[in-house]
Amino acid sequence: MRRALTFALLALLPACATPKPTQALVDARAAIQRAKSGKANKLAPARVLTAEKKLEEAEQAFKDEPGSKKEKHSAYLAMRLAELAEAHASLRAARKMQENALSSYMDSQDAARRQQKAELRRRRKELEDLESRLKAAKGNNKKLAKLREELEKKKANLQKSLEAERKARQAAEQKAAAALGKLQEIAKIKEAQEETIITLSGSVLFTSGKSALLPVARQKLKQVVIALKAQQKSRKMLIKGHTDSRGSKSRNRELSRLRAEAVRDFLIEQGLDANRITAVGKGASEPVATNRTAEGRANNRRVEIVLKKAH
Amino acid sequence: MMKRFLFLTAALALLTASCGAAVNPRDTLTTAMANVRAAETAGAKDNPKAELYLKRATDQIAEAKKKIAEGDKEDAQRLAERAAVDAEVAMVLSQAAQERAKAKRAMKRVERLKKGM
Repeated sequence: MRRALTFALLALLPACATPKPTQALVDARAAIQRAKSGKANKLAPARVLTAEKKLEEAEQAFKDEPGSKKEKHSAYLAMRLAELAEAHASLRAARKMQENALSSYMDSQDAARRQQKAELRRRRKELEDLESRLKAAKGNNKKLAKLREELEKKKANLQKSLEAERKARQAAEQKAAAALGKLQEIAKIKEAQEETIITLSGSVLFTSGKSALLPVARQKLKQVVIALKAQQKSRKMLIKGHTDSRGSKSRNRELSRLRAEAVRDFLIEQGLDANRITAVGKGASEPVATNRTAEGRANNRRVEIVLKKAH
Repeated sequence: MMKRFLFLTAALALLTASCGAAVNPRDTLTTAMANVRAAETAGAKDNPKAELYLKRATDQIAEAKKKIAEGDKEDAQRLAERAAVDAEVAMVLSQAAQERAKAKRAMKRVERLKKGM
């Protein structure tokens, strides 16, 4: 019984002999542990070490003299040093963050600058393209101006030649009018709506009852040819022979046809277009005057050259 | 530079403190007060957590002065040492907060630049 009691006492003894650390030491241990397991261990290792050393002092003081002022004081300082290490670690972290921000700012700026440069290059190239296109356009303008000049020249030439042609035509018309005027001296000319009729007296052209042209008739007809040639366009021509009413009808028709043909042949001989000339004999069927007087009959004996108006 | 200087003085104070008999609490007190000023300059009064440490430091400085007046050099020394380290923690905490704010602003600037591209 007594032995058991002493055992129990002995068992109790070490419990009493093991003193409890002060709250300050408990807190300091926790603080050091926190600092060692946190970012302070990496970012402020020297400071963590200082705190640990202070903690060791506190632990030593706890061993030497548990609950002493020295233990509490060292524990307090150890805890603060651990907190200081953590504060320094977060200061370092913040500075590192700033550095990172700065370098990524610079990277971004570089990128922005590169982008700007690329943009600038693109714009410059655009400008160059524009300039070269402008140059080409200017070249084209020169070509166009040259072309226009040539065209103007051609136009002027054309106008000149047109003017010359107009003058020539005018001259030809005047000549034609003059020729026609001359013709009026030897022949009767009647202008109608659709035709011009040149009437040549039969007695001038033929001897009575014959169909061969007199030499003087040839000369007169030559003048007719000149006048006709002076006309702008060759016109269709109908040559009509007429007689007075004396003698047989068939004989008169025959004679008038032969005489018209004689005139036609002469005109062709003088160079007028054969295809455009027709000759007909009308006999006494189309008198222009009375057949009862000698003068009237003389007027009826005639050859008419009918010029169809050109359309 | 300032930080290193403070750390050295604090370490020196702790070293001299451990020498026991040859302690001069007035020197340590001077260090503590210098640390308090440095913490205030760093903006400890604008930071709730730092302000807590600053308050602890000034309270202990007052206490230490009392102990000096009472002739209790050892307690005065301990109090001064605690005040010095408390003030230092206050200072570094406010510095860290300010640097974090700067870092945040810098990162925002980077974001803006990246968005502007």
